[in-house]
Amino acid sequence: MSATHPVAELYTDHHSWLHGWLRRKLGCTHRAADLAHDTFLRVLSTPKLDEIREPRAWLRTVAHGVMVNHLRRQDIERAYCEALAAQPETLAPSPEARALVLEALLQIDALLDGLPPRVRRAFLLSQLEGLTYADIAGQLGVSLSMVKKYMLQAITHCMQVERP
Amino acid sequence: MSPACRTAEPGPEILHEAARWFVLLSSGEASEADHRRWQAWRAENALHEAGWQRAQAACAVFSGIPAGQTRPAFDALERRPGVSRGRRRTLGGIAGLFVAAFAGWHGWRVSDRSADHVTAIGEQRDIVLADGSRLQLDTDSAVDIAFSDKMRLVRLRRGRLMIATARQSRSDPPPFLVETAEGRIQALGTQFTVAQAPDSSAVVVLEARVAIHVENASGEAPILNAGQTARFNRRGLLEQRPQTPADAAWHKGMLVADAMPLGEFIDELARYRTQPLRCAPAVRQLRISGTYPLADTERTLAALADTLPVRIEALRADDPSGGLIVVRK
Repeated sequence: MSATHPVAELYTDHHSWLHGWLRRKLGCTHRAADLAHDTFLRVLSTPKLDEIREPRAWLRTVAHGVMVNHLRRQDIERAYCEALAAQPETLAPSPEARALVLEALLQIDALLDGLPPRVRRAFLLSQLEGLTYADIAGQLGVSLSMVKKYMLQAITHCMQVERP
Repeated sequence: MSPACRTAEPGPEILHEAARWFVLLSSGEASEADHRRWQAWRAENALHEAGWQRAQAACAVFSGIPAGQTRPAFDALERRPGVSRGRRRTLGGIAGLFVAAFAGWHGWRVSDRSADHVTAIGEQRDIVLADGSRLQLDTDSAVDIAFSDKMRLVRLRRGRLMIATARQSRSDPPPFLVETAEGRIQALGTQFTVAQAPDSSAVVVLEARVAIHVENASGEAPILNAGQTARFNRRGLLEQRPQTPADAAWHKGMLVADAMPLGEFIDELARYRTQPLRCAPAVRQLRISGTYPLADTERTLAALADTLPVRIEALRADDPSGGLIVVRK
């Protein structure tokens, strides 16, 4: 083959720089290596790679997304493990069930991203726990009409969110 | 700014109604009669049903949590760091630099005279930036330029601009960003336009790609490719679709219409005229097609009267200089 593949070229020119950039952000060389790898996996699925004129700005953007997702996932996984640990042992789900719940939690968290905490809580109490608005009003210490307002704000937000 | 999407999508009013039905039905207080009215509303119109499906689909992820797991799921989502104290934690890199800069954007319009570049109504202007990139301003627009070692920042206070970034000699030039009230658009070696509307921003990518960093979302920045256009507010993307020739014709000094409602066409034209230009409600829904020069709106208006059953009149009979209105012939 005469021409090098654009990804190969990107990789040769910028991989060690990207690894360094991620290492400085994360303070861990192994995790940086994993995320640099994930970044290039994502790069592989990008159309028209040869058009990129500022490869490092672009790689940094993709890597930032990979990193944000990674940290978010870690946060939620840890919070879910803690929540499970607080449960009676008889209710412990199987590893498969846990993995599925974790995926759903990540999606829900992404869906609700940007909502004020109270609105988020009201919506979760309704949609996850199936509480009535009167119960939610009691838990949050707000009026019934405020709960309705929160719910409308949350569902409107969810309907607007573009999901990949 | 652009013609509305013309596929059979439920409009904002229907989506709002669907959201209200959702809130009623989730309350645990909906009566038999409420349910009947809701069924009737859905059956009344295919768009109503489509709107309801959108509300349903928006919450489909909740069904991924089995009944026995809702308590730990709720705890996990509530306990996760960052939730209670806002979602800024994961904003690193370039995004963090903007938090402070953003605090004051509400005051922009009033402090217009301090803007680095301002165009008058009807004016379009080309500016070459310090790094060789080209900035084109549309009618009635204002921008600030802030270039530093850390970033090349163009702040759009209002109106519309086009950016064509120049190739840089440094291997790692500072990021090129356009900031609006709703977020930042990062150029990734590219040509694109940005428009500031009252409560949203719109981006059209003409070449290569851009990343959109939305003000209040901490997740991944969506990347928009050439040929796409997107609109976003402070919470996230509102719309993303393939662009049409109409979307960015302004930077070539043209207004392109393809069966555009006359009302939208006139609103767009009015942005280039100092005196008011209105469209009578009776003719707003007429459709217009063609390519019209923005620099000569008089000629466009004259051409309008030749092709559509309309007439151009003075807005106020006693004052011919007080603006124009398009009415039915």
